[in-house]
Amino acid sequence: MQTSEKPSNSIIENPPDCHLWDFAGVDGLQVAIALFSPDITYIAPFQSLTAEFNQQPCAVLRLCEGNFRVALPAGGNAIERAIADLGLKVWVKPCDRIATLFLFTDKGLERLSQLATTKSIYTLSPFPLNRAVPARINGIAILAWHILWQGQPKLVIQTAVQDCDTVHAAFLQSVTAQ
Amino acid sequence: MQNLQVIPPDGLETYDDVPAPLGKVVAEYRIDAATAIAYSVKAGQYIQIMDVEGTQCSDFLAFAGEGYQEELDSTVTRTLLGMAMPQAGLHNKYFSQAMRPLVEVIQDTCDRHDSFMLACTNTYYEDAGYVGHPSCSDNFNQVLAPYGMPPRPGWAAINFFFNTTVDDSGAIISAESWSRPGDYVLLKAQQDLLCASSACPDDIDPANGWHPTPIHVRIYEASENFPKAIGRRVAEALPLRFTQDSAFTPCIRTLTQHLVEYNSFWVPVSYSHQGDQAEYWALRQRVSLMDLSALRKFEVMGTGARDLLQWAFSRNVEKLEIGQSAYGCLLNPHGGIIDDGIVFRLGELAYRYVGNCDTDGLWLQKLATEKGFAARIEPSSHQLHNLALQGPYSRYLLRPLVEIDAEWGLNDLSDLAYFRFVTGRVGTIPVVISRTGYTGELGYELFVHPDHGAALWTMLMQEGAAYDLMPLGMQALDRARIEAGLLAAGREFHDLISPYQAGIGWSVGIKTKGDFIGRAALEKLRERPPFVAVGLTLESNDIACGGQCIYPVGDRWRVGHVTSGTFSPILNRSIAMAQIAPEYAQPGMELEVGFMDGFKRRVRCQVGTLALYDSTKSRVRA
Repeated sequence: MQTSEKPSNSIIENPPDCHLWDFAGVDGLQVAIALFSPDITYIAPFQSLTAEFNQQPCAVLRLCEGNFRVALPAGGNAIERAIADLGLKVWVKPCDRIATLFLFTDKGLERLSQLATTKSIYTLSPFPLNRAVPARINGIAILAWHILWQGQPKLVIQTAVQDCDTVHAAFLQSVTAQ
Repeated sequence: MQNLQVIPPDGLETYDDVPAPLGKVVAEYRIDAATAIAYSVKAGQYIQIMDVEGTQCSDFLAFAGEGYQEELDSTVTRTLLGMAMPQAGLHNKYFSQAMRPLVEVIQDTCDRHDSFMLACTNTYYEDAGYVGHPSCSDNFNQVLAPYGMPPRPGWAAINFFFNTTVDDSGAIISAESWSRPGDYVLLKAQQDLLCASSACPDDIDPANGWHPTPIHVRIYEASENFPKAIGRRVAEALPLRFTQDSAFTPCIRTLTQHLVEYNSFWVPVSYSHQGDQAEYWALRQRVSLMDLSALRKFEVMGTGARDLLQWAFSRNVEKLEIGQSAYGCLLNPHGGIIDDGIVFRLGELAYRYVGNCDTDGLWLQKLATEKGFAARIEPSSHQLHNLALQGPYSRYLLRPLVEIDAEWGLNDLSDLAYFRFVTGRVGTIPVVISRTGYTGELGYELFVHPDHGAALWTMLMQEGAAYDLMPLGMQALDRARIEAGLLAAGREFHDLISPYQAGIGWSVGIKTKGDFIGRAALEKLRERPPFVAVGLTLESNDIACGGQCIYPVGDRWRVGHVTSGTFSPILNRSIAMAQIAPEYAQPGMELEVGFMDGFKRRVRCQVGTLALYDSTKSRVRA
């Protein structure tokens, strides 16, 4: 995955301090409780919380009953080892196929609601902190995540690596249009 | 899209053999028996496909795009929806092979169609010995030819009113159509479409009742705004019932679009950006608000009202005081549960039954007539919609808002005991406040005239903000009621299951009252019901959400089955409600839940009380 900062000073592509990992399985919730916080039981799919892993802040997004995505500031495979040590029934792997675009929320949320469409049960207006919404921009699937990252609210757009430039361009065009 | 070769209607004739139009008609077609037509619709227009005489199938095709290359695809549709057929409501669209929606189901009064089979083919009839028999596929070939569509031996259609099911062996069973005269499907075109509809010619099996009859199609203007609804029949004596909003639904729709049909009402599954876990915890730790207007209410009045309820209802209502209520069930002669519900004593000769079924009133009236009880039954669901305010803070929230009518001699809501009710006002809104619920928490149910529903919802949501109140959807409610061991109709009981089997034997006044319906059977069932209801705690995190068989440890033969299951957040365990042979139902007993085919994975579980959360009911009685 390439990391770059493009001229649009408000969109950062694949920042080096954000590493996404997925884990899922019948014991997914128990892994999340053990690694992060019992508070994980309070959040529903497409909700997240800020936690700590290896004394560093991280964000944990629930995707389904036993499916979670973690955003970690540090690289390496510490989370893989930690999960293996638990001996529970889950798989864990880095999100190699996902690219991320980090946007500042003040403009990002507004642009997103103009650019993206969702299924009827989801909404981007409002889009509170620690929520995620599956959506599409020009037909391209994204997962928008309103996250507290390094103490700042950020809008993180996750999309397939091969679609990253197109989605990035869509956001840039929306700026131009404004 | 190119200009469509529209087959014009024969003018807008008046048809007196079908129900009146739903709105402004732009085209109308009568499809003679055993024929088909092609017709065009514009995006946004509505297509009503109507069974004129009943028991008649109508296959349907739709094509979009310049060369009609994008066609309706039932496999894509089933996959995207996770349902065999779209249904009015959330899962309501038929998709093309390009995964774009072509039509949306707006209303459906039959709710039994086929999406698995081809439109009938020449081959089907030929193989049965009927050479030269017309078929829907061949009829489609003929009417689509003018549009340049090459013929096919069989068209993959959506077969409206065609009654098929897939049995446990995978066989697709077809039988006589469920549709009655005038039944219809109302679709909304999502794009400009070329459509084709048939009146199926099949007279060699029961699909069309052996006698093919016409189909009627109406096209309505796009400016119409027909409500989404499923029409259901629950009894021959009752009119078709369409899914409706409660008095609170407009408020709920501002908070979520995730609504489904439940017992003929649109109810929220969960709320946007809340989710069922947060709603659940709001209920268990703070306070939550839910719309339970789908409950059915019946006024039972007259000098024979008490005797009727003594005969029909499992509890002894003789000692109920005015302002007191009792949970129990309506019984049938063999001791089965027709419905569970609560009887409220409103006055000397006035009771209210609150249950789940429209047919409860018919049943009570029938019994009153048969037994000569001077009792009158009047449905009152249309006058009483209800909210449940549940959770440990519900009392704190409600108390300062409530003014109890003086006649009850009760100044403080805190003095309202469990299964007691009063009338009063919340602000200026007249309500009945009942200390009951379906969650296993302290709570209240508020019955209100629909005219005041929105105001009551708004006030409780506003005042509840101080307690971090959350509205609660059905998904969270289901978690809570399974934890609390509370029964759901169709899951834990039905009319072949006795109260002793369902786990509410305590609600049968077998020792406290005289004869009542089903008593003789229940006296025998009480000794040893074939199964009893228990709670199960599973050793793994697999969710046994219903239907899984239960086995003795290491054995192949069954001792019961799961009726409902969920993950309990408060217990942090997978739990279930189950029906178990009495010999295996002792608390603490270890059994196995069989997943998949029952053998691929067995999960140990422990038998417990039906209510695995707060089994002593200390919280609801607090």
